[in-house]
Amino acid sequence: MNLREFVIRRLALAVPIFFLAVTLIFVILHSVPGDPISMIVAEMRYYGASRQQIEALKAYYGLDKPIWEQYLMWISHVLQGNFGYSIPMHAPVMDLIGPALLNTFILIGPAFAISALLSIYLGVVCATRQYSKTDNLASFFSLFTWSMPGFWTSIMVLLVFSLYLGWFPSSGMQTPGFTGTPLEMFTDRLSHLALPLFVNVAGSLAMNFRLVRSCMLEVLREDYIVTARSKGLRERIVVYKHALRNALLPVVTSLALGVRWIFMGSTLIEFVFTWPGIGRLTLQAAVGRDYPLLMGATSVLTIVTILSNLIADVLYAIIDPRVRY
Amino acid sequence: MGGGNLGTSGLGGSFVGRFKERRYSLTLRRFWKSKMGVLGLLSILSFAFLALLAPVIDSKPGLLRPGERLTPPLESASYLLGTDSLGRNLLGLICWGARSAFTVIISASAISTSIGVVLGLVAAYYGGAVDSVIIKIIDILLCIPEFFLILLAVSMFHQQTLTVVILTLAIFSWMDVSRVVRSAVLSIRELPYVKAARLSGASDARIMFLHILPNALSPIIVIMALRMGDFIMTETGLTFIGLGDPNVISWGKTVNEGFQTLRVAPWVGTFTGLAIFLLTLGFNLLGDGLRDALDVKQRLT
Repeated sequence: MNLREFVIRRLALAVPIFFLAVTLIFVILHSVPGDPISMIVAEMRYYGASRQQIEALKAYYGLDKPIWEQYLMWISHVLQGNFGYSIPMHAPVMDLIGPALLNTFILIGPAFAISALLSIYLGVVCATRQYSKTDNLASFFSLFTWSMPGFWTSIMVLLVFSLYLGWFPSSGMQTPGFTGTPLEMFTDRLSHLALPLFVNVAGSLAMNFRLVRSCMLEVLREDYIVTARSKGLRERIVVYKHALRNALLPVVTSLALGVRWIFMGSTLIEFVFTWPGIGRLTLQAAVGRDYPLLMGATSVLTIVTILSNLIADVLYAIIDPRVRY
Repeated sequence: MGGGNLGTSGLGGSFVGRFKERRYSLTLRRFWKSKMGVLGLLSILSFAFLALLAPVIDSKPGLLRPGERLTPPLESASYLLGTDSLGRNLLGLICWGARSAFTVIISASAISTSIGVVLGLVAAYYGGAVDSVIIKIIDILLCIPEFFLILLAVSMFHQQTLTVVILTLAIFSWMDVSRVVRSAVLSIRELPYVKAARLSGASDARIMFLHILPNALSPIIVIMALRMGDFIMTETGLTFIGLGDPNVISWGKTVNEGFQTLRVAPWVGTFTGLAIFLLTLGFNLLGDGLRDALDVKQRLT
């Protein structure tokens, strides 16, 4: 079996998982007392809506149908990429999620890359000098950043670098109404990106670093490393070519599996910096009880998680020649 | 759960008892040696102390004192950490917040661990269809980012009481424990002593809880400690964005209020967030120390 067949088989396995996950979201929504529009209904009653109007609204959302029919409707809509209409935002859910997801990738993409590269570099440096001053300092520091709640780090960074020092803007993706040369526009966006990016990297760096360090330490004890050294290879080649390549196997998997953590961590960071991403959108939906939007965003994030798990599997198969598909 | 109550006094006389006691004291000694683990335990205990003292430190939590608004820290003897924009005593808010934090993490981890242990035992012990259904449920739950599941579930309730938050946290976090228990059982199930117990007529429940479970205890304890840190983060995250019980004083809510008044009262968010950080750090350090002391080799994510 070649790689393509392997990818297709894994995709085929991912599809039922996605449907079961979407079913779970549906079950959660319907297992709680009160239906999704009871809030709206209560409000309509308050403003003197008639019984017929309320019934019409329920019929419009299909809430008068039996539960299995509602479920089939939900699944068929999901298949068409239709997650319904967000009443508070006055827009179809998909039109809201698309741009928000793109904005989140603008934030998460660089954060992921920086965190991965930096953690690999730091992990190698510390593992090759175990118990040195650098290693102890980095390990100690990683214990601290690991336990910092992202929203608090965001607020602290905002307080120091935006309110006190005034180096960076405190919110949004760009200065509203700002126009200039493309370079100026780019710098403006970059200065808005700096703080949330920093917090995002700080949040995921600790976990990645600890992982790379422990994997490297494990590999450095292997016999083939001793062999490589005794052959008289330069230390650089031993570390980067022989040790790192093997240590990276579990790291790559964990990095890809960690994408869900980055999304979750980024949510509250987006909230603090009013970054118009998917996390902030989800929070708005949760607080404003915007159920179609909330279900849509959760489903899309589930797809992202499943895809990143898939990428982890495929990457592992590509990197490790020992893996049989 | 300091690990101090692990000694088994009832078995003291027998050989097995002495062996067990020796193992526990070794574990304890190893734990006391790890400075970081002890430091974590100290952090947890001091917050527990603050939580217990809450009614003494501030008998009227959340009392608005319009005359004392925005007192900076250390300026007034009665408000050590200052007051917020509504004139509430910040130290009092933090102590009462510690109370709700402990309520949430203790009950949520008790429930979550019980679900995980029972499902893990059942899956591995009965195998077959039961096992594959439970494994499927775990797979599905692991692919939805749990923070969003919890958001979805909590926001569904019109009255988001503390119980709702606790149950939601527990329901979406038992998977790790289940997997550990399941794999432990699978490796132990066929050992002679389990077969002997079955031959001597012990019931399924007795075999599972008395003979198999104790062997999976170490990883469960480590997961519990680390999970408690996660629970604090999630609970404060929920209350930070405005979900959760509006009538309970919570760290997340206080940090949010501090965020709203960051320009005039930066100390409110700073100190409350510091409390979240220190307690989370405590549980993470404790979990790390216990992992080394109990010699849990598995990489726990």
